[in-house]
Amino acid sequence: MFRTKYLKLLLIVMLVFLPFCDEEAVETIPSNEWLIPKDQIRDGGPGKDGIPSIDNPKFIPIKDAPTLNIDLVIGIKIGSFVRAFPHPILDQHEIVNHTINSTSFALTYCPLTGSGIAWDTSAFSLNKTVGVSGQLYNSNLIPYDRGTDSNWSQMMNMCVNGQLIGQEAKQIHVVETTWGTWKMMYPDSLVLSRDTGFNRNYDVYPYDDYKFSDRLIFPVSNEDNRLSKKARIHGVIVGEETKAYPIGSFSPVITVLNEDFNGLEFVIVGDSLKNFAVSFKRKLSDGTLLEFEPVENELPVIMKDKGGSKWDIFGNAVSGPRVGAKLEPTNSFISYWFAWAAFYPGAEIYSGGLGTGLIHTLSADFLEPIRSDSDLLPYHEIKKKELDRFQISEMLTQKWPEIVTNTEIAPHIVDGQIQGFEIRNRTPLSPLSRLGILDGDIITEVNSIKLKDVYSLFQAFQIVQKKGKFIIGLERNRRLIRLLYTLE
Amino acid sequence: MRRQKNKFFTIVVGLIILFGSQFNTHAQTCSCAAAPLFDPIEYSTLKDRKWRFELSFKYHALNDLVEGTEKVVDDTDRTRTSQFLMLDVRYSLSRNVTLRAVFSFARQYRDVGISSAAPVSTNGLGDSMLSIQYSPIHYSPKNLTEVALGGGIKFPVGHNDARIIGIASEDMQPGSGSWDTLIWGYASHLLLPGNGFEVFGGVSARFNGTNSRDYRFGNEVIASLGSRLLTKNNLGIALYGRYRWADYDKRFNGNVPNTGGQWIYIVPSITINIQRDWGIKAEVELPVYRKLNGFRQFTTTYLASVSVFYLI
Repeated sequence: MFRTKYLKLLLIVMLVFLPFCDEEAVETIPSNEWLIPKDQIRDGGPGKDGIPSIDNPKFIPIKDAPTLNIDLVIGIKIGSFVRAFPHPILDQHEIVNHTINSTSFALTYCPLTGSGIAWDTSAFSLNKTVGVSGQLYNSNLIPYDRGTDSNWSQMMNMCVNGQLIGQEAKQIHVVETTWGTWKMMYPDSLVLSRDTGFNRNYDVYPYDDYKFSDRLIFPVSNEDNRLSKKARIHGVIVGEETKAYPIGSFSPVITVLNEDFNGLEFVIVGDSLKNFAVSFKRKLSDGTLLEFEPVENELPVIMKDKGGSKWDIFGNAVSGPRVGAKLEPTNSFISYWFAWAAFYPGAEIYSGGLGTGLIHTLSADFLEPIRSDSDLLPYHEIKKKELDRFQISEMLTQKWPEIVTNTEIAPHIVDGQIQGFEIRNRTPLSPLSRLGILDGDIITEVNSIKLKDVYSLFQAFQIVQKKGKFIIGLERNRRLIRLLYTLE
Repeated sequence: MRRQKNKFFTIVVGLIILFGSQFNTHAQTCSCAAAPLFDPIEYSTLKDRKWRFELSFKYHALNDLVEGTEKVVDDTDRTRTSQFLMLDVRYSLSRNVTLRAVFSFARQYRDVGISSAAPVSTNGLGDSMLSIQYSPIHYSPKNLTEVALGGGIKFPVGHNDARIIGIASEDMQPGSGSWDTLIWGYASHLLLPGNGFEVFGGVSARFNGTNSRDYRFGNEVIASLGSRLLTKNNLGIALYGRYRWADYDKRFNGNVPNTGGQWIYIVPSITINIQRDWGIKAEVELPVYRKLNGFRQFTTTYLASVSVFYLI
């Protein structure tokens, strides 16, 4: 009886585990050649097409587009057709397949590396659309083409696996900037509709605080801490060398740099407030080398050459002797710094006139969440302050009641709407004084959060309390001032 | 009669093996996809020097797409399941102390319906656990209450480097790859001793370690409360509620978006004691409320399990 029990038990265990003795987790897709280290490829979780590309995009006029929560857009101009693709939609689809004027392209955007690149897909043969493979390399999107099922590295602009292995993708020039700037530049253009055919809430950013924090979700092969991880940079590739231009390192006005890097003469134009950077080769096809200087207040015109021709943000001469000419874009795109450093180790960094420390100060935390047109107001003055983190923390936690009780904080009302809060009767020792705020100042925003009600004031207080860096925007004697703080 | 019962036993074991033999392809994850090694209502004490073996098959469907508290339409038509074959072995050193080991084999499966790509899956040894349980109070003719406290370690013997082209996502791995710690408490009280009607409750907490890829599944707390009726024809019927809280998963000291949250399940369960020394059990865990972190998560549609247990 006893023996029978044990035999029964033994039988169960053997039958159950015997079939698995030689089991290993199996790859579903046969292994073949990859141009990137296969052990550094990660399955992102949603699976192939689990993040669905938009293959039948609809576009609507800008005036009909909801503006809520659109921070940045990626713009494309093919001939006279101009289209804008908002980040909040791209965050959830990553790829839009579209054809304009017989040019088929895939606009690819990786929300984890902040990189937006458009590829001419005419060369992808057969079915020309591109989908999301669900795999990541250095945290970056690996698109696959549905014609050959080949896998591509977005930030390498190259097919890294499959029938088209080694083939380089042909880029189509894109412009990435704030929604407000785009609308100012191309008010008659069309914008990608939220009617994507998918059930999504595009007002919600799907990765929590990822784009505002310094943390990563997936590992990368090379870490470089010279800049904040999420600092948005415009990277230029010239042969084996690359140079990164942090967008935050440009002035808050259009800045033009005539560069000569690794034998390539190019112009880079950036503006930290409008949040864009573009670059073009300076040498025309006839061998003429151009020198450029900035043009303000004529968007989409951003620069002019010494011959008097004016050039727009897509590199087209729109007036002057060279009208109709077109500059060739450099091999470049915008991404987060950490991703650029992972793909292109040892990149040279443009520091502007600010020095490396201040590039940190002006990094993504400050300048990314620009959410409305009024962000484009030309600030007359930008002041930078470094404060003691401990003192500020103490001030804001222990002395907050003092601020509230001893200082008059009055809503500043314009056309029946609160447009900030005016500070009055502040004591000299008030924490607000320590922040450099004066009586009569109207605080209009903190880190691009518009102070339009008490709730936003509370949100702003939380930001100041938690962030190591913050910006206070205020109006003083009819001048708009931005105070940039770094807590050390 | 005895032949018939043995035949029934063979059929049950056969069914479990049949399900188990489906484990021959690949794996997948979400913050609910780990092997459910610890069931706070399964801590009832054993008699002195007794062995208890339980072999179970668990099928976890994770197809509900939830945004906060609302179930939303999944426009990718995704199918995500986890299947576990588990062996739970207990040995009582005395009436008060029980040792327990749980071994699992896991299969993770994922299919995106709108994709022309083939489904993917991983499989391999899953997480395992060793634990010890102390029961200061247990049922006796004079005592209608039972209390058990325990602690254990979940150790990373499972397969944790499965690939789907690249390294499979953490939720698709058969094992979590981390050392975790568990503690629990359990209590039950017989309300109607003659009829075998008891109420019970249990709480467990799991503190997870970090695996070799610097990934840590969110710590979790599970609390259960329910009642059980053992009828005179050896049929046990239980109904209980289960609350689960899971913290965000962590990587590089930061939260992994769209992980963790709170769940409330209702769990009907039925146990048939075929003979004094063995029986079968079936239960299904159905979500009734969810409040999940982040934007959206795929989460439990149901968790069904069938098991056979055997006492020596």
